[in-house]
Amino acid sequence: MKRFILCCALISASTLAITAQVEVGLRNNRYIHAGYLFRGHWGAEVEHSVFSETIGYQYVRIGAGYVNNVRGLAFTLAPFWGTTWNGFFWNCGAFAGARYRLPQGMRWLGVNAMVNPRYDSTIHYDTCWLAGLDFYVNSEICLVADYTTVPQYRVSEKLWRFGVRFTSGRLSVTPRVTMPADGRDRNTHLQTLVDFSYQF
Amino acid sequence: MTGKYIILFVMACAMMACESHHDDAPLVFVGDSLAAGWDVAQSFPTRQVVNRGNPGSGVEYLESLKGSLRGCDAVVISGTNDSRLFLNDPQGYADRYLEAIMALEARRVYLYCVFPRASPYNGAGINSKIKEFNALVSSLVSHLEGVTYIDVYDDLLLGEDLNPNYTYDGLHLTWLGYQVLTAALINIID
Repeated sequence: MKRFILCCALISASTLAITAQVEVGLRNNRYIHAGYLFRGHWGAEVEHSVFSETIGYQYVRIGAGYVNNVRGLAFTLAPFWGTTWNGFFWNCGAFAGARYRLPQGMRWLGVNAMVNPRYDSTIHYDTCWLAGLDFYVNSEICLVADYTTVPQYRVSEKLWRFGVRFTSGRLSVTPRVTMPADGRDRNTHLQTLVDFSYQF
Repeated sequence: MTGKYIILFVMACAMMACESHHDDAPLVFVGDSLAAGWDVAQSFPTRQVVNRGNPGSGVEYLESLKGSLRGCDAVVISGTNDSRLFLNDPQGYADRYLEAIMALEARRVYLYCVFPRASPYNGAGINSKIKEFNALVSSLVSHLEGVTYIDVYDDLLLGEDLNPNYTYDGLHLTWLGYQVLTAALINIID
């Protein structure tokens, strides 16, 4: 299993980056990933948790996917399968997303959406989703805001997320503040999460 | 020149406004692995915090700390490793448990309920028995001065079991689980 994952890590491809061949990064502070894109459209990715836990309870996810860009509409379809090393739980599903930056005159605005059907070995089936807006300040800074029900770990959570995406060359860093949208106290459930990615 | 004084005045006001309203008494976390696994410095950045959680421990560990938390505020998370004791003799165990907590001699005690469990630790209807034990402790604590009972049992549930988001293994908590504990304690302290 470990060798299989290692091989995937070495040959995997980014399902998100369109022009890049190799991408490494971090998601939500706790998941590192690496990917490889083949012929600009077909890719695979491996993601691994960095929880404060023993290796047995670390989560690893592998995915393959297709990305394309048609008339400014970038879309992704990426099935995945994940588990903890000790098999405590597993899950699978797909990310189907689209991102569109509005044409001339409204170039400062972008919209994005994602649907995430998923199955968890304990929780069973759920359909999660995300809808967001991008406000482009300039070529390097973009304000991002979204509403998501995609889980941080296993169970769907309703969250508002607000942040800034800084892009410089091949590096992209997105710090975000999240707050619950499901009745939990917003003040005591604030989180600061960071995503970053680097494309080779 | 006047501008500098105005800036200094504004900064002084801001510093006074930002001054913590918390007590300076250290907040000492004691209990089992559920206490030990809590990154308390990150959860309570404005408090003096000490984590004396001891994985695998139970009421005996609390008894061993007798008199050692004088002048401190104690946060107690224990009981999970003593499930056999409180299943056999809930009243006897609850009395011993609360006696150990009072013997800490802490200025204040924030006592968490025993948390629910998920598979594979939730066999034999243990969660309903934990709930009964919590109700017993809650009623006893209401007569004790300086002890605040923190009931997060329902907040940690999904259905009848510990929410899978809040646990790595059915017993120990994830960062999302500790977020629930942090929110509950902050709401009480503040």
